[in-house]
Amino acid sequence: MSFEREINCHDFTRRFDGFLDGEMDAHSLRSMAIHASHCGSCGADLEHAESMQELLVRAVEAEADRIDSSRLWRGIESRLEPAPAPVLHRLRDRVAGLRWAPAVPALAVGGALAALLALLFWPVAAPSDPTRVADNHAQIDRIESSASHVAVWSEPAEHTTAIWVASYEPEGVP
Amino acid sequence: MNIAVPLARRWLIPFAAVLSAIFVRLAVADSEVALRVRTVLATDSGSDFDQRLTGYRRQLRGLFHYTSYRLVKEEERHCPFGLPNNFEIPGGRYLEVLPVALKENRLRLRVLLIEGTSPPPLDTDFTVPNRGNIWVGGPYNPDGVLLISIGAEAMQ
Repeated sequence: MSFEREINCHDFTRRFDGFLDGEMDAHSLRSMAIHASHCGSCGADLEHAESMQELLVRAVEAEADRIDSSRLWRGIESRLEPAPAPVLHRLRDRVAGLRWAPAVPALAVGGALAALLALLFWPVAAPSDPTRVADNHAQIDRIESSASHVAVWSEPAEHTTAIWVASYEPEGVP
Repeated sequence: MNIAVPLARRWLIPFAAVLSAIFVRLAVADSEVALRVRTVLATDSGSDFDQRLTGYRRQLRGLFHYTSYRLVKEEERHCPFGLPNNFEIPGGRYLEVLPVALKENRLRLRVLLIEGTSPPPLDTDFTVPNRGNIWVGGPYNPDGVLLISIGAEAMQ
């Protein structure tokens, strides 16, 4: 682990906006990230800023979704030349003339049954939110690796465990 | 009455099929486990944090010191205990996850990371809390490093 690019809280605050926007070189970005992960106060500031950024993005997306584009489309449609009869209508007219048309209700019931079966066997929707376990500590019983570098460590908040397997050392690992 | 009997016969088979499906579904539900494998590309270029990884922010920031994290693949499988599952990992790798058992609200998993024909970089047995996860990091990617979250939840 190398700290030759270590920065202090003052530097972190001064360069915070640039970091948040990703407008700095890779070395500086890394130094800032390392500082944020070691300094509780700056880490919390970063987490807060990122949350705010996400809220803003969501708010903008929600506003965009709320815009009623139906009137816009009606305006465009009124200026378009009349289109030929839709394929669906022509198809429906042809189907109506077929002999097996009375079988449609039976097909509908069959379809409904198929949908019900699909629902029954469809995997249960899992919560999209990942783990919310107070103590996420993993207990490793056995580990074998062909990699030259193997490391196991945990983070302090939820005690989540990481296993590192690579031909190079994990950078910045505590 | 002449009409009612054929109608009942006509509905008997679909009704029995639906009932059977319900019973089978209920029977297998207790012994199922949901496995979730999420692959994250971590780099030191930019400071983007993929919004889909919001729930993992604390874990990623606490465990690794990269500046940018992007979810590149996520997959979820529901399977019974004792059945190995192969998850494809970018870069021609495979992750074989075998849910062994659930005991005292902890899930025992066996995980094998396979890279081509070379000896596996990882072969491990461990337990995680039910609904917990573990990270495997290190597989090289031309754009950065892959971090793989392996999560499991017993479906009870």
